[in-house]
Amino acid sequence: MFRRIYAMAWKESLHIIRDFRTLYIAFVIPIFLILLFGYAVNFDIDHIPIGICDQDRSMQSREFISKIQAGGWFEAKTVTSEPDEIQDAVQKGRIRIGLFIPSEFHKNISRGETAQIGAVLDGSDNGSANAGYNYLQLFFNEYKFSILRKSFLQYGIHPPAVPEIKPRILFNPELKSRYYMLPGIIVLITAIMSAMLTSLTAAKEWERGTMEQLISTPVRPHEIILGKIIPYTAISMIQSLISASVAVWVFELPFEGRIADLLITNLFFSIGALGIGITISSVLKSQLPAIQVSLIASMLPSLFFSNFVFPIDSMPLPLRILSGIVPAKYFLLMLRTIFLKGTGFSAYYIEFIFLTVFCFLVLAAASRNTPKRIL
Amino acid sequence: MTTALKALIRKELIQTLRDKKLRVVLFALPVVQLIIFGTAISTDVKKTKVTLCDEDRSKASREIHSILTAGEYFEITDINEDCRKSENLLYVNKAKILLVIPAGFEKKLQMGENSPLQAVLDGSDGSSASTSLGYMLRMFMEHQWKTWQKTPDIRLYSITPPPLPKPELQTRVYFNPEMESRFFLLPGIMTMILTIIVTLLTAMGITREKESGTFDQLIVSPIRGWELILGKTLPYLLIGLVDLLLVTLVSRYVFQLKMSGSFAAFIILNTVYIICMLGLGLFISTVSSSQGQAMMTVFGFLFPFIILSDFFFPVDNMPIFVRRLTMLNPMKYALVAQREIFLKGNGLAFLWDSVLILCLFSVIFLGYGAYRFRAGTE
Repeated sequence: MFRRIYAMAWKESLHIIRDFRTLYIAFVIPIFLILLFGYAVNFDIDHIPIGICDQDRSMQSREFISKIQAGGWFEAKTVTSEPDEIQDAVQKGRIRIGLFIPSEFHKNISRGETAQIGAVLDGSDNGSANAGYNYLQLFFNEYKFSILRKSFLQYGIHPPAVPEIKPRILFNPELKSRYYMLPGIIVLITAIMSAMLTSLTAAKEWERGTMEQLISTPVRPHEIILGKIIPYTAISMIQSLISASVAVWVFELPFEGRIADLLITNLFFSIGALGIGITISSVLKSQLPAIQVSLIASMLPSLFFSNFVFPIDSMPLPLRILSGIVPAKYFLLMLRTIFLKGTGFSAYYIEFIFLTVFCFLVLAAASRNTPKRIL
Repeated sequence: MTTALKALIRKELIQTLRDKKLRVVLFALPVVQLIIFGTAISTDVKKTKVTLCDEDRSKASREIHSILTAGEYFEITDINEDCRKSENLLYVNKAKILLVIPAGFEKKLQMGENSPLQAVLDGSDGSSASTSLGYMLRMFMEHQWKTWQKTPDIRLYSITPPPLPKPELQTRVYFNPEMESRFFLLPGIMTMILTIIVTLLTAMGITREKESGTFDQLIVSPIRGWELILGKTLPYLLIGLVDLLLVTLVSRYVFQLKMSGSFAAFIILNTVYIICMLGLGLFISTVSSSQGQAMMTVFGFLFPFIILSDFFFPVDNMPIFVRRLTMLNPMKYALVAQREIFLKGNGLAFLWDSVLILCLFSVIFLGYGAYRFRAGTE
């Protein structure tokens, strides 16, 4: 049995080595992608461009304007007294948030009445609208309390005591988005590259008619699948280790865990991802549909159902259940744990068991779809 | 249109649509994809697991408990008295936040001092951490607001309580009033689906004929070069447009995404964009000798296109030289314009520059692709 698997693996390796360009692309693309991602992806939103229409022109309104710029979250691009100017700037996308301070603002504050400030936000912008909204709320809350505190003190009253939150962030104290994005990017690259690599192998043999020849030899279906997977596992492992090294050396991603943990989890994830490709390939038996399906089956789940950008816990129940079969979700958790927390197997043994079961199931599915005899 | 061209287009359509698997891939998969991901997309962070380390065990600490669990944002998974045990839960991925209520918390409050609670967050999933920290701060500020409004001190100290000012923020969100992340991502998903399908179909379709040898037969037939190019690309343009309408209808009727801009602008923009991607596919087919190579090359182009398209990752946040790089990305123009059509309701009057740039890209891609393609057929 091992002799036959070895022969299959050797045959497959020759195919890979002879198609030198594919191999070359397979190693260059991950480097290129991780560099691009590392430089380009940044969720740390600051200096959101805002515009302020100040019709009040009082001490209070000037204080508000200087306070909102002090935190570094917002940068006032325009300060005017013309509301139309602000509206126009939001419409054209020059500023993300427009603030309106009406003329009776300071009077209302000193009279102890409701004093409104209007805000318009550009909701068509990805990401920064949400962040802008949250920052604005936080800023305004603080502003509100500073005003209240002042009037409390004016009346000579000590403001009531309240609980205060003092945040401390573990594993990534400055909350650098690069640190939590990079493991996700490694998962994404490994998942896609692996599934694409194998998605053509079985289909190619069916299209060329060599699958019939393989079936007529004493090699059994699971031996064909295992033999095909082995050389690709090596490529996939090298690919993701390259990505991981670039992440650590170029982008200074901390590596707190052990290399052995990384290798083992990576091995199983690679086999699972390659298994997805080869299963699709053996079911569809034709290269063009196989590549389309495996691109979608690998890229979209690892983007959407892995906690990479969109948190799974807030999804509706059927999708949360569906996300249970996405190996990228487990691998991302393991990578974040290994890179940033440095905790060992105890932190993800359940996920690891799931990943192993997943590998076994996809390989079984691929073998079942490779016939023993031609009908 | 010549008879040869007509025949070629018919052949291409029959060949593509006859394949049942390919039909599913081309028309059913995009719809399923759109529905699943349209449902999944949300950047809200709900049900964050919180472990509480309560060293005070007082009435005040029970109040903290109820403040936290008031909404659906936090879930208290367990309450410990040993903070080390609680902190360990963060290391083994059993909780995302540890909230420490220190001993003497209630006493301090009663003495009229602000009493700090320590929130320890798991920064390895930083985007969720910062969002849920934001929620938590807001909840405690609301609590503070309520406490201050009660102001028992005022009634104690003065006979007629003086009015307190109430600053208020009135927000209005343009173009996407409910701040649904779904709405800014759906137009992007449309563009992405279109990009992947059209480019892969063209590049691999032509390489397949090369591989199976039928391409040589086409070359020796009396079909002229330009007819061959048009015959190979027009059917895919058609398929791309059908797909586009399909996903637009699904977003309209399943997700209530209304197109507030002009339909004409939508069609013009996307047609130009599809032609651009057809050109790219044609070019890739001329530099690839097998479907495997074609696939890898397509991928090498599309992945950077997607990353630099402002789809998930805001271009505004990128460093300046990467931002300049995005100007070379046709997908960015198509995606941003698509969003403007759907959300901002802009028409050609606003978007003409994007359409023009896309036209330029189409001419370059298609021109160079066709040039290489013809050179290859001779």
